[in-house]
Amino acid sequence: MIEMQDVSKSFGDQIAVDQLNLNVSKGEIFGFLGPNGAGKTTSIRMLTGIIPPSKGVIKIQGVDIQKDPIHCKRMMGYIPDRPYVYEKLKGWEFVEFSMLLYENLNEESIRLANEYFELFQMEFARDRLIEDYSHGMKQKLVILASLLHQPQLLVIDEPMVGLDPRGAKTLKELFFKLREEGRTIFLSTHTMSVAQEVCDRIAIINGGSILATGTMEELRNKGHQDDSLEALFLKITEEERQESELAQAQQEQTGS
Amino acid sequence: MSHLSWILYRIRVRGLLNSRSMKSQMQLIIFLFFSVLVLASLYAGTSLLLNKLDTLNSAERYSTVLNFASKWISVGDLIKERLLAMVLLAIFFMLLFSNLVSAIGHIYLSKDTELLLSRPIPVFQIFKARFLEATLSSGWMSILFFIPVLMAYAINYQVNALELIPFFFCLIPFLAIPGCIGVCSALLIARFFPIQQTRKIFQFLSVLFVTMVVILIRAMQPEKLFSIRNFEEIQSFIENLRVPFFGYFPSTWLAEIITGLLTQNLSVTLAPAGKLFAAALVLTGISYALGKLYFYKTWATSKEISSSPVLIHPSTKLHKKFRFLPVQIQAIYAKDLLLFTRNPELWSQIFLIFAMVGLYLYNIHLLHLDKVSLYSHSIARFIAYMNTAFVGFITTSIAMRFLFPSISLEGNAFWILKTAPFPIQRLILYKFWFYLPWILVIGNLMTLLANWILAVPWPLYVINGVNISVICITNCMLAICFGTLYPQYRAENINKIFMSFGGTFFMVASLAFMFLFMMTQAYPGTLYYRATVRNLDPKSWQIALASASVLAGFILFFVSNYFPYKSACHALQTREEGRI
Repeated sequence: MIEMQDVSKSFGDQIAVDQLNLNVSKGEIFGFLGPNGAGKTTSIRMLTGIIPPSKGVIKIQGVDIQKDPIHCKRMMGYIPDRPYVYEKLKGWEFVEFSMLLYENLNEESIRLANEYFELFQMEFARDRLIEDYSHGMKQKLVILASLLHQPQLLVIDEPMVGLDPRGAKTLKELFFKLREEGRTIFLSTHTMSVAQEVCDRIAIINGGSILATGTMEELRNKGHQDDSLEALFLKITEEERQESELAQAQQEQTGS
Repeated sequence: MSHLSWILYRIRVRGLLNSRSMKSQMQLIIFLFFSVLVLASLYAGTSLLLNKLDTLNSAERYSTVLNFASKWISVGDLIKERLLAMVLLAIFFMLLFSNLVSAIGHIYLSKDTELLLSRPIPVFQIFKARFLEATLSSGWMSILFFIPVLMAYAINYQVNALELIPFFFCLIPFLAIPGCIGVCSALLIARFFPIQQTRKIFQFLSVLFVTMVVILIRAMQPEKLFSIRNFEEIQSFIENLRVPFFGYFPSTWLAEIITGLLTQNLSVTLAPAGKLFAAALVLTGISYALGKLYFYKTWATSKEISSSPVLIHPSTKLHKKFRFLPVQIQAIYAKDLLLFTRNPELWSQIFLIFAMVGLYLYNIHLLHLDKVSLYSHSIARFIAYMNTAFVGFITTSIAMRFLFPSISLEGNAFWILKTAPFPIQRLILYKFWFYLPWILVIGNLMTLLANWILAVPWPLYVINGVNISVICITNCMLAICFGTLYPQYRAENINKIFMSFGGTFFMVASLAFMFLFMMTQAYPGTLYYRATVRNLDPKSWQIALASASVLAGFILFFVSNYFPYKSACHALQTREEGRI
């Protein structure tokens, strides 16, 4: 479903993502983990076509997003880490706007929207201005609006931020349901328990590069004996930090 | 100033210095250049006016009734003083209203107030910091624009800059008075009404107020100050000038202080300075008392009350009104229209546009060309030609207020459009076509009415119509393109968007285009005038030159639209800064 080949992104001298290679299969929930500033959001912004990569190719179901962005975006639903929306629209108006943008304002989408409003317990807020919504409500609105065109690929940046426990549970269940329907979910998160619980495979990114990829089992088998993902994550990122510090010290020594 | 207050102010100053509104040194230089240009123009204009008024003081040069009057009074000096009082009155009113809006914003809507309240800082310190911020942020620009006017006065009166130092001390109470009124009003209003709604209402009222002031000043016909023959009795004119002008206003007190300093008559400055400082002290005391009583209480209430009701509720399913357009355009137009109607900050600007249009036509109506001379018809044609440029200027300011901010207003929600399945560069054209018809109608209507008032022959209707259409189209394209190239996604209000570097740059580009385009039309216009009025048939080389000139105009039109459009499309596709 997703192929990222040697994808790099630089902002001036700063390399945010360095030769990223990833393959995500159809019907998979793929977790993208990394500390702050690791390059997760930049990768997601390239994947969703918001910014172009400096180098490399990104394909969605075999289609290069740089060559046919419209086709790729039609297959995708995106939920950003911060639910910025048009504050002066009402909830339902925003949903309708999203449907029109994806050219799918039809009875099926309206039925689906009503279903999701109910699922996320948001019916009471349908006709309220979004500026009156709480952070969690905005997040739910963005989630449900991104699902209405029934995307084959759902890209989510920090899905649980701002959600109440019930909302988080509903969303996790929704992920499983979507996977059963054969849809792919690419999610970036800091919440280790979420990644461990819902993801089929996980990639750990730091300093713009992938440090490890695999299922939980595969990660454990790669010499990391601890059970929890949190411990694995800390170990992998710490090892990488020590290696890069050592390399830098050696470089400085050679230079002097 | 206490240590805590100092910390609070330092945070704000540091924030301002760290702001990324100036992206490069080059932008800063250009911005400073234009700021200095505006200030220099203000200085030059005021100097010119004051020098003209000086001529009224030399009695021997006039053979009118003024001669008699000037023997016992310097009419020019009186008018200068009256003008100073008028300028300061206008500044005072501007300060009053900007303080009201700014006080509501700073006291109740500052994003960091919540954080500060959770820290061990006395609530009253936070109130005082907000009070000062509101007063300074409202006042600095008005004062900056007054400085060149003051300099022109000082030089005209041959006064040393050092002798004006007391004026700068008097500025403190002059700024503090509207600041206190703004803060007190904000506190009292918030005591009784939900603050979110109040802010919207005040945004609307402030624009309406500015519109009314503009109309009022125009209706007073200040040009009559310079056409003394309009007064049947010279004495009544002088008496009129001597009557105190809004005597109980702080602006009048400051005007009296400045006049005293300029005429080096310090004794007359004492009373108004006393009034100014006393008023400021009393009002500061009242503000502090109200702040202690209401600041925290009203701030907490403002967080509890929902802002649900909006001023205008257009019907839903708005997109169906655009059903003849492709679906995605329907979505964007319906969304833009809803956001526009629900934001008083945006739609209240329409009042200013109406005022501008109305005043412009009123001014043309007042020209009385029939009383000017035998050459009235040629003057009318010249004015009709120049009118296109003036109307163009008005359409520039309309484009500046509506089109230029339209991309920035997508704000942090821009990711929605960027991830939607349509070529994002088309957004420029969608927005362009959304606004162009309105601006074309306004531009053509104003030109049409002006041509009708000036009674020009019908070919000029056509020529001026084509010219204004070209200008309107280019203004719209430049506005949307410059707004895309220099977006302000995080601007807190619309004023910050069009007062940005990009806004200034757009104005300059638009004016440059209009100047060059009108230049290309000048020669063909002259030939037409000679042929129709003086019956001078143009020679073939003159016709060729005129045709080349018209062609150059249309090449300029193409270049001014095409290249900015391409750059804006590129910027929209590849923009990487910020979290959009």
